[in-house]
Amino acid sequence: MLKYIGKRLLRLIPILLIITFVAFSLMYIAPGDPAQKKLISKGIVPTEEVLKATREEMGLDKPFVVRYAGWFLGFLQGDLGKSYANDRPVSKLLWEAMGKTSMVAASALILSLIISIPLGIWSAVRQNSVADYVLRFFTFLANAVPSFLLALLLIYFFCIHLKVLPVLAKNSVEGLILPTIALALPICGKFIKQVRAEVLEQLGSDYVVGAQARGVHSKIILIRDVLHNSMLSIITVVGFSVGALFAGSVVIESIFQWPGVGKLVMDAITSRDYPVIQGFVIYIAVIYVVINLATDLAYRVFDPRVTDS
Amino acid sequence: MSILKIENMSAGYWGTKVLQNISLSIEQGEILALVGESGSGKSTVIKSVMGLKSSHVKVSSGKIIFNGNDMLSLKQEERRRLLGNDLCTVFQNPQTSMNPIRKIKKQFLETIKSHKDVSDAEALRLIKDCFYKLGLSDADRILESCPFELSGGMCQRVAIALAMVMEPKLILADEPTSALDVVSQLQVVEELLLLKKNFKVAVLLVTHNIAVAEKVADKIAIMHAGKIVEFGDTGVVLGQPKNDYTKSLLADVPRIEAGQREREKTETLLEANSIIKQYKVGDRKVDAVSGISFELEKGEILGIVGESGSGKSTLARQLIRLETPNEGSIRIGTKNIADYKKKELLCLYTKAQMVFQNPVSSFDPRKTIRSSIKDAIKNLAGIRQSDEIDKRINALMIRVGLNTELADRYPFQLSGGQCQRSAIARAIACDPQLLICDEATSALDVTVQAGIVELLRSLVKSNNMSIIFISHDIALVSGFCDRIMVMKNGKCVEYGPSSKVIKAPENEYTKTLIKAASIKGESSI
Repeated sequence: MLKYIGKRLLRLIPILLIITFVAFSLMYIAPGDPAQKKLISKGIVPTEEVLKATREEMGLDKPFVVRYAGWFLGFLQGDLGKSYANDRPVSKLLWEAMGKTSMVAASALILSLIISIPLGIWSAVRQNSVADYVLRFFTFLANAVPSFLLALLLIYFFCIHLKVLPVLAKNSVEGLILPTIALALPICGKFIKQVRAEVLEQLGSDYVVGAQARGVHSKIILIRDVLHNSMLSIITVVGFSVGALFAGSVVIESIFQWPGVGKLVMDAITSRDYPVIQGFVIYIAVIYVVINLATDLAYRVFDPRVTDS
Repeated sequence: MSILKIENMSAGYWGTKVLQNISLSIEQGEILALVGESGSGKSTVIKSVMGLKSSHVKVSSGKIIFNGNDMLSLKQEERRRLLGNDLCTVFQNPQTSMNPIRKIKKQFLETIKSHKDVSDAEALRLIKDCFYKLGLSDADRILESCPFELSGGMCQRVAIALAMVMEPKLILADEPTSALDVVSQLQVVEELLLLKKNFKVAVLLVTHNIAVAEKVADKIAIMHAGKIVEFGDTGVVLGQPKNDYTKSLLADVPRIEAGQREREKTETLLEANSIIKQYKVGDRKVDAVSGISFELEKGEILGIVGESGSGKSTLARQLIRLETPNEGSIRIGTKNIADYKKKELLCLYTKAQMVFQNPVSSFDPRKTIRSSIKDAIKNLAGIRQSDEIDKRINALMIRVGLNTELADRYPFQLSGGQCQRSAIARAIACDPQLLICDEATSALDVTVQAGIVELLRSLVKSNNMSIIFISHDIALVSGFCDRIMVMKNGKCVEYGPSSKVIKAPENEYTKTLIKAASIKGESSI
């Protein structure tokens, strides 16, 4: 197992190299002069002389490869450059925003798993009952409603009508509740559908008939066999959602003024703060690579058939 | 007293009647074989007795009495207590009837604990005791494995152990040997006999394999179209069958034959020289076919026999260049087929055609048979006028013994036998010199199989076609082929005229195959 993890980590190196190269090139081919943008964003009038000095200071006069090498060395030491907007290190900005995003992401993930797995199984076991139809209607709805609408409805109901929760998140625990629900509900829609479909498929397989023919209690078959075997496909779907969650939701974070990654990158895009965007691209790439690795490892735990080859 | 008694039972699925007035009974310690072709309702009998909701069988009338219990009026929990305890089932495919990715130990434990209030240690003792009685050594390793890690044969023996661990009174065995290779089949047959001898357990054995039934069963019931057409002592029913269907069924069962048809030596059609085909598995290279050489004459039938995984199909794929061998040459005529350019391959396919195991999936499901055959005629026979093509299709359908109207159906609307005949019609559309049949009759019932073999024979006679007939059934090959090649692990272990291979086999493996196939010969006829 350790050998496998080691191998996988080694394989990550070329992937990350390519990603950093692409991320760096993006800035290089982006239209406009970074020095000029930096000066304008600081409110300095970009005269020829000041521009030249700034370019030299930023190393823009050097060839592409030299600049990439210098940037990459910095990246290895955790230095992603400084934000044009406020001169703060990008790594620090990302780190802070990541903490905030992770809080919402983790709580939304846990909430959706707690809701989806039992409901998905229940819906599968009672296939085509009234309860199943009602639940399927709601999963359909949860899938279909856009998150900004859901967020606004939640705000209207809880903050304006019932007045039990604050509208703006403001870093508090109460503030976490609505963004969590707004993120979790659409995911629940997806998860419940997946769990239901997978459990139904497993329930129809031969080994379930085999276990029934051996007189094994139906609850034991459901939990130890069916759920265990369903985990493989559930993990895949969860993996995709985790990536999207940790990438931060621009819409939700903007509506609730939650200072996460989504909001950070939204602000960076509107002010053309390239180093922050670049840092964000790398952050997303790393998140997905790590999640892929975690998913593969989870496969190995649940399915002994998955081997190194 | 009978352990299981079925009286005038009729049953079916979703309103369609499958079984009609079935009556049979099994005594303690007796093996009853239920024999018939696929679709005759054998498995439905077993499903009716088990009565699981998930099998969707509905018994409309009659009685099923097991050990004094009326199976049709049992409550769900009462049924659960019986199943796996007094009444156990062994299924066709052991690797799917157990959870393939859970340790076997866990599956044993949950079975035992569903019926008995025992500690893990005590349960483990029961399991090992059962393994010992069944002669399964290496219990610790097996228990720590998952079903997918064991061979099919071993897995089926474990499945039998899993059925026996609660010491049931009756075992329902649904085609327990059908998914296994011959060697494992023999083992499972021995095991069934052991059950009867040592445990005095009754077995209801469902099988389409008459040889297996004859070897193990005390009584036999022949099923046809949902009815039992003949029932009695095995020796009597098989020795002096009274019913016409039983008679025709027995006549169509292939038997080991050492005879050989007379034919003169003709010119060579195909010459294969030390063919090697390797596949990469992980970091290793595995020889799927290693160093096979043979010659095939015009009008000759060559049988290639071996169990699954022996490399038969891989060899066939090399012969018509679906794959290219790593080493060796294959000549049809004068040219090595590896040298054919892409454009010339069409020319190869007018000379050599293949018929596959599953006829339904070898046709495009969205095209009618006519349109599939039309493609073959257009591409390979070079005929373009549609009225001529239609004429040719009709002639081909008649040639393979089918009504021309069937050509307008879709593959799934035909029976397996009709579909395989259509596949042969498509293969011979361009009048090839060589026909490769890769397990072409394995998915078919014996009576249908006999018809297909007869058709192939007549093709050889009328078109002077050569056939390479790949099969795992040495009995079938023995009566049909001029020469036989026995393959094991990618190698040819024996090759020669079929009378010689059958009468005086030199290789141990060939002897085992012949022994397994001639179970029948030992007891009667």
